[in-house]
Amino acid sequence: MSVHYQPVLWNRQKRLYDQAMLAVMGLYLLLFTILQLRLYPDITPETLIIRATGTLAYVMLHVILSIGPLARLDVRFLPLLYNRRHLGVTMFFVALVHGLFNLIQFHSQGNTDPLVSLLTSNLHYNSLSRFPFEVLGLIALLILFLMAATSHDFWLKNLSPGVWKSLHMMVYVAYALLVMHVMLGALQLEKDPLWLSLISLGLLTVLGLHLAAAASTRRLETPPEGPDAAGFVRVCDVHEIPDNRAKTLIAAGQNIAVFKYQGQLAAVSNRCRHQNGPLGEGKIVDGCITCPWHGYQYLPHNGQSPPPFTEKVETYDVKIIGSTVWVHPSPYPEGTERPPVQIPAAHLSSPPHEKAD
Amino acid sequence: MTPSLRKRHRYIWLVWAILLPILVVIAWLTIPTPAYQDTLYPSAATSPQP
Repeated sequence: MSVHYQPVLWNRQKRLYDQAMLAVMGLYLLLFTILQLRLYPDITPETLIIRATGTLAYVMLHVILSIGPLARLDVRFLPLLYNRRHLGVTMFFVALVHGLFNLIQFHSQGNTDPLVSLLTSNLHYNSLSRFPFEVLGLIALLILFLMAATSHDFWLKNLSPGVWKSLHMMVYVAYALLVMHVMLGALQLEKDPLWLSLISLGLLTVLGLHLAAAASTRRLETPPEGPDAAGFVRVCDVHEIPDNRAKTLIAAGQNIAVFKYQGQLAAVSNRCRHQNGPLGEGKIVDGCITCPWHGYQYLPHNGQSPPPFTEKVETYDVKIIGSTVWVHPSPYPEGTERPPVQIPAAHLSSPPHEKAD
Repeated sequence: MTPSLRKRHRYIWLVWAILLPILVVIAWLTIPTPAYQDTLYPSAATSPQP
């Protein structure tokens, strides 16, 4: 949430995260260098840099791609999601160093322009074993550049969340290109099954996490019961919603989050204005619905961000009959005040295991 | 995440789950065996001089 653009929204958590990230990267580079010097005592500094940055960027990409599904599977990983951008931009710079040193080492010694040399020196597109794998890396690097260059709320706001998200989903294409860049490049010189095992382990981890997260969120798409005569659809039993948390549903094309707080119920759109984050997976902090992705906040009874912020989301009518919660899937315009529904005293307590944290 | 975005993610990863392992295996199978292992000097020690 921002009133004006700032170069970077620094806070203590981000600084700690960045320090930890740089420390782990430094440790990796140190260990990798020691290992390489032991295995290949005659290795040149250029080759060492190419190998170290290439493997580091590849590992970092796997970590980045694992954060999203991990956060969807377990909320304890959400702090990683808040800070994923810094990791992504850092990974681009590491990959850029790898690319530049490759260009210097293999394409800058002749009369041809290094980039022209990279694109024309190997044209064996019809051979897998001699495939110009460097071109795959170059395309992936260009995608990563576009993503790093637009990794700021300025671009998110100006491109719109939909376009921005589509652009950043190109990372999946970059990932596939990089898997093949490694398989058709470095691995064509290494018959040791250890390398294939490591590549496969990374690939299966990323694929497994994404498929597991997709399966777990598919339950949300089950159509709700209803509508009743007044057009309300059933949400759940009131006891199924933990205090200060929400139950989400999709009804009549609307993605709705029904929040329970201070003995009341209120429903808002489940899409954060910032990046379409899942508000219903967040919780009420200081009386505000707080998006789990980047901490944007909204008041539950009117869907408005607290002053001085201006973001607003749609609101919905809620009712409770007995212990059953119902919501009307027709949205009110963004920021429309809808009085929260009081939960009858008999249904106020949550089951102990669902108490809000 | 919106339902359409969730669906897009699911399709992409389903396609990758099928495609990428196949491509990785194919790429692994194309790795050439070093020539010197079997083909250099194959009969030097065994063939008698004329």
